[in-house]
Amino acid sequence: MKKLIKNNVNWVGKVDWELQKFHGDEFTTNQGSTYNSYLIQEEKNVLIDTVWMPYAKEFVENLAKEIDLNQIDFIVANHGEIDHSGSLPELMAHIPDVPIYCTANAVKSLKGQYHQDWNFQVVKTGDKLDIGNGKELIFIEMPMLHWPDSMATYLTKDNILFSNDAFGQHYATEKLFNNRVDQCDLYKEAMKYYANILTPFSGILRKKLEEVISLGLPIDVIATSHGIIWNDNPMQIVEKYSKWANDYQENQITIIYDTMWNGTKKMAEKIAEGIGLADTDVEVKVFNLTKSDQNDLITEVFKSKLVLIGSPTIGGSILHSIAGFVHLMKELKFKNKKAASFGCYGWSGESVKVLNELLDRAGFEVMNEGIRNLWNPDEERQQEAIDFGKSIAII
Amino acid sequence: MKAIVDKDICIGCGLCESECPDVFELDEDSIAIVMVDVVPQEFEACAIEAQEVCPVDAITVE
Repeated sequence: MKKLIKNNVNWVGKVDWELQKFHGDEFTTNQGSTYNSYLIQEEKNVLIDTVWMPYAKEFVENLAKEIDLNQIDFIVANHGEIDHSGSLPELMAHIPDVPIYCTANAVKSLKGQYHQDWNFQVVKTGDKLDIGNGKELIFIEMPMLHWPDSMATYLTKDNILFSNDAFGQHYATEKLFNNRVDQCDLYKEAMKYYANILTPFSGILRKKLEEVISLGLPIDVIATSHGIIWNDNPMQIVEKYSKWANDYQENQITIIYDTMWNGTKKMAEKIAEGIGLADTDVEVKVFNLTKSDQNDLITEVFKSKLVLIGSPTIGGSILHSIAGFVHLMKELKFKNKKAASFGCYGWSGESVKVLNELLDRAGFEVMNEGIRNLWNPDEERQQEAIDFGKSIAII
Repeated sequence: MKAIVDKDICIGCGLCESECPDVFELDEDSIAIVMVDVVPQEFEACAIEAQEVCPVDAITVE
C-alpha cells in the first residue's frame, strides 16, 4: 500500500524485515532493509526506482492497485543495481515503451543485466523534465556515489531530493520518516552504511556535497532508496556526511584479533588495559574478529584514530580470518588512521611482520614494529603488553 | 607533463572530465580520452587531481 510522502508523492516500495545479508554475503543487515520506490502523480505520472528482484511481482501488483500502469508516463532509474532496478523486467513487460530516464552508464548497467533495449533517455546533470502543474524533475549525476551510473533526482516545488543510495541505511521500519524512529538505531545504521560502502569515495563525496549545496536548491525532504526518509531537518544527514567524508575519527582505539589458544587474546586484553591506564579519556574497544559482525567492526575502524590488529603465527603468516579483514580495510581506503600489530607464536613468529606490511599497504600509518610473544604470555610478558598499550596510547 | 588513460581499465565514470575538463573528456563510447599531447602548466594540478580521483587508477601523469 502506498504511503504519503508529500503532496502528490507517495512511497510504493517494499519493507524487507528478514534481510540479514546484502551484496551477497558482504554486508550484514541486522535490522533488515527497505527498497524505496516513489510514485509522483502530477499531470505526468512518474515512477522513481523500483525494488529488489525477488519482490518484483509483488511490487508490480501493488503498484497496479495504486495506478493504472498504462498511466505511467516516465520512469526514472537513479541507479542500475538490482536492489533498485530489479523489478524493471516485470514492470516493463506491462509497459514496454515507457521512457526510462537514467545516466549513460546506467544504460550500460541495465542492458548488461537485463539484456533489454528499453526506451532509454540519457540525462546529464542539470537536465530537466517537465511533469506538469509547474513542477520539474532535475537530474544530478552522482558518479561513484557509489557506482559509475549513480544519479539523484530533484523535484521542484515539493523540494524533494531523491538521493538513491546516498544518505540511506539498511533499516526496516514502517515508520517511514527519520523523526519517528529510534535515533540511536538510525544513526548506527546510517554510519554503518557510510563506513562500509561510501568510505572509499569520501573525496568524491566532499566535492559532490559542495556542488549540490552550490546549486542552491531548497531541500525539504531527502528521499533515499534504503531505510527512512529524511523529512525532519533533512540537512542533518548532509552535515553528518560532510563530517564523515573528512577523514572522520573519534577518540577511539580499536583492538581486533583472532586467536588459536588464547595467547593473542590475552595480549589484546593486556594492551587494552595499558591503553586505559595511560589515557582515561580514550574509548578503547576489543573484539575477537570471529565472534563479531565484520561490518560492525568496519564501523569501529571508521570511528577509530588507531587500530591494533592481532594474529598468532600460522604457516609462517597470519590467520586467514584476519587476512580477509585486513583486505576489507584496504578495499575501503581509510585515510588518516594509525595502526599497530601484535600476536603470539610457538615457532618462528612472522605474523607481526606480515601484518605490518599488510596494514602499510592498506594505507594505515604503522606506528612501530609491533609486539610479539613466544608461547602464552607469563606475568612479565603480560606486563610488557600493558606497557606496549601505555606507549601506543600516547603516540 | 603527459597524461595517459588506460582504456582497458577506464569505467567511464567521468570524474576526470569533471575534475579537469581541459585535459580529459569522455568519447562516444564513454571512455576517457586525453585531449592534449602535453598538459599545459596551468592544468597540471587538476590533471593530478583527476589521477587521484580516478576510482580504478586508470590515469597516469608523468
